[in-house]
Amino acid sequence: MAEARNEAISWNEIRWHLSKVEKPSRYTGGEINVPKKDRTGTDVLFALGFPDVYEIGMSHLGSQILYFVLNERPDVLCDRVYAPWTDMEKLMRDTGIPLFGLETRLPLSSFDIVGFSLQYELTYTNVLNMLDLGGVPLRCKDRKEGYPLIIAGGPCAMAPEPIAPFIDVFVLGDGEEVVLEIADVYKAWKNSCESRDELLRDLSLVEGVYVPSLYDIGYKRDGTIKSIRPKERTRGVSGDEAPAKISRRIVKSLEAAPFPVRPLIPLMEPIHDRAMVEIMRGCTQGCRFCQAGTIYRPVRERSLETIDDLSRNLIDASGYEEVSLVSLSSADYSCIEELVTRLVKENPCGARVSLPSLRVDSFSIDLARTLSSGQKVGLTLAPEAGTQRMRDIINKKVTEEDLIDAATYAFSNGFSNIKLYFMIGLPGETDEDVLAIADLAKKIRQIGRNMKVRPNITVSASGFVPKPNTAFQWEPCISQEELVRRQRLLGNALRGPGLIYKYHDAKTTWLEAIFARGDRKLSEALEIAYRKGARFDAWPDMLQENLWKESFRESGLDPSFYAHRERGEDEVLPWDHLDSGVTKQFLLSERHKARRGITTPDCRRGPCVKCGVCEKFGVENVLAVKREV
Amino acid sequence: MQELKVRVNYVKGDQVRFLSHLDLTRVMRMALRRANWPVLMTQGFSPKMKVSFYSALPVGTAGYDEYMDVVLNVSDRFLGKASTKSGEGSEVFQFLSLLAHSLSKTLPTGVSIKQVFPVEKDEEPFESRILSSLYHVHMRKVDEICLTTAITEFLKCSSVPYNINRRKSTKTIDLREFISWAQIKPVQNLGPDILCVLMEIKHADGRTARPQWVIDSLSEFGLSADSKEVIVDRVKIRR
Repeated sequence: MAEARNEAISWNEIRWHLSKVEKPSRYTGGEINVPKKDRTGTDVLFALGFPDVYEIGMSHLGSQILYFVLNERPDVLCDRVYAPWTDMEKLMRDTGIPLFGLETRLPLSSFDIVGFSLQYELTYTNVLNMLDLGGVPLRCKDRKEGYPLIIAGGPCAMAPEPIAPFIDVFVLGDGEEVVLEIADVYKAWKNSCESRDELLRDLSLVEGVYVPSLYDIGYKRDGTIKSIRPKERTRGVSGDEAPAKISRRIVKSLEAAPFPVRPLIPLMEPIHDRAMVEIMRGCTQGCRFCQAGTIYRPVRERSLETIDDLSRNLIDASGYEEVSLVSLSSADYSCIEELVTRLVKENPCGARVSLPSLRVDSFSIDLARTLSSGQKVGLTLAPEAGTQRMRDIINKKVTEEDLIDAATYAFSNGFSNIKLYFMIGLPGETDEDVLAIADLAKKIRQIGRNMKVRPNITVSASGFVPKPNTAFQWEPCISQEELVRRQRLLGNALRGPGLIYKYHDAKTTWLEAIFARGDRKLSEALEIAYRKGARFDAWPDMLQENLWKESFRESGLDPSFYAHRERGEDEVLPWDHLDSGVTKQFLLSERHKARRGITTPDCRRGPCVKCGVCEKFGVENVLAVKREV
Repeated sequence: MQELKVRVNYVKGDQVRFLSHLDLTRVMRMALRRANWPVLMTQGFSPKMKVSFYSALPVGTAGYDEYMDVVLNVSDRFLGKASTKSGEGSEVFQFLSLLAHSLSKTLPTGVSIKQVFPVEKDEEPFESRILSSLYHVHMRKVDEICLTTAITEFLKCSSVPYNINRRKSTKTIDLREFISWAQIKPVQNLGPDILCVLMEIKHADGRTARPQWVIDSLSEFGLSADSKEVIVDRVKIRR
């Protein structure tokens, strides 16, 4: 662990070294729109940590929202910290420079609260590395008084057991309200003489907060979980016990929710170099593989007027040339046509408008045409599976006819490059389903050829990883060897001019499948792998498979138990005590319907599907325009 | 509306020395938009601002005499009889001083505007008029006598071959022909163990050399120094 230092790192100390590392502006800060706040007078010093490189972290809208919300408070100062690339890590370790906040240049260990955003499981080793480089003991039990409170949120917080021994507090669900409540509890605790344990107990009483150290996990002989229960003697000052089930937080309406209209603009180019407006949160399409479709329910749309205002303000404050209307499925926004017309044709904000995701239909192609304003770049569509049978299983309500129509319409409107997203290894998939992906791509290519365009069809096939809180959470992930075989099968069938085949590294799928549904025991393997040098595991050329295999061996854990085992329907799952609002019963019924190839409608456009969210939280889908049901 | 080409003399300061040239151009373009400069756009599907940058600085090097040209689309009333020869106090200069002010307010810490002035549209390209750059190279933990000797020996040579390693190839240049002169800055108050070398590096046919290459090649003349542990500032561009 880096030696604990309390003083800010001087610019002079850093600048002599930075020429030795790749992309040194990752570590210099100085972004546009950083609020000018004085440390004196602030009660809570907060660092938002993103466990990946700067240019990825700076493109993450959720972090920008939390940064904005926290810095709006005069008593809180929020700084940011990102995972240093391996060259910078070596430099820091060699020179004794600890990991520091980009604005205050204070070592991580000097902050009151460090909050990590856990977007994907393969960043876990980076979280450990950031703590260690920042002079913070890795395990919660070793962090006594004086060390920062380590919190984490994001989608992985809904099934966080593999990283639970390293994180004091998880935040479940929408963070913009609960993060302020955590700051309040922390501030009150800081002004009291209570112990750190007392702080954790107080925090466990905040809705949406999960304190893993307050829960006991019992295991059966076969390694599955027997029970997850709050520990005895977890009484907080108010006398309440840590809840047996922790519900996620939901912001009922986005209309009044805070949004950063003066976003941070990095000086080096981030991966998404454009202004972003969150036009809605949540998706009720009900794709059975999709975790986000469960853990962000219900749909909450912003109004046209608010989006219009936000876009104008964002462009003025940023200087971006493009504004992206982001959400899980932006083409599903209830009045997307009106919104796009308003933003593009009336062009109030003087910038290009883009939609990150399109549906497979001619309506979406029309949108793409309007957005491209003459310039025909590429189109990306996600049929996800090659046959109707498979698409019914995963509840992706797209037919081959839709795809053919969309492609025909796209070619006739000047598009020639079409990218298609698929998954391989879905439950119930056969070789015919895999080969059908190639057939589909070839059919689309032929349509293009018949229409005298020179089509380029890119097929991108990722390995399916069963995720917690989905209808497929009980399913086994196929083995690496089988995934490679199916990838080759598809690759061989996809040869030819105008066809491009891209696929994900099978070992990444393997490791993600282990950690996505892992239990607390996996933390041993995680720490061993980190100590052996695992970093940036989401980067295919960085993931060291043998190192991980050794780590599983040394920790006495069988990776297949986590990745390739079908879970029993009555099994206690490691995230059963964390409540997304969608009932286990609903997910089970979806699993059974998947096996029978029965689809479930979108509750935005049909009757309630009884997933449980609206009933539990007293919420409902909020649409910009009410649709007739 | 008429086109007006203006030259912006700016500073890429210490805090932004690690920005790449490409990132700096992005920062400038975004700042021009935030400052609402009436920049002329190129025609076509993806219109781009008509902005040109000169003599790119490498990552890690600060510049205190940098230039970019911006073509503006301005109302006739600002130009009228005005030309680039109009004196200070003219409407054009007042207009440009307002623009300079608005741009200054939107720039990140470390980037600042020294001057904005009009130039003839058909002026000879700026890049080809650059004769040399004057650099300050700060070094630490280096023996002064050793450094002085190495510089003297370097300058005595009529030719110093230097290999530039690129990703896939190596190119050999005669580094000596780019160096007009180099010397240790005599008066300095830079802190303990820090020395500053001044050097003038020529530009010829769009080519020039980097001060770090000189530091690298001084190893052949008895100096042991890490060219990645120097702080380089370009203080002047000579035309």
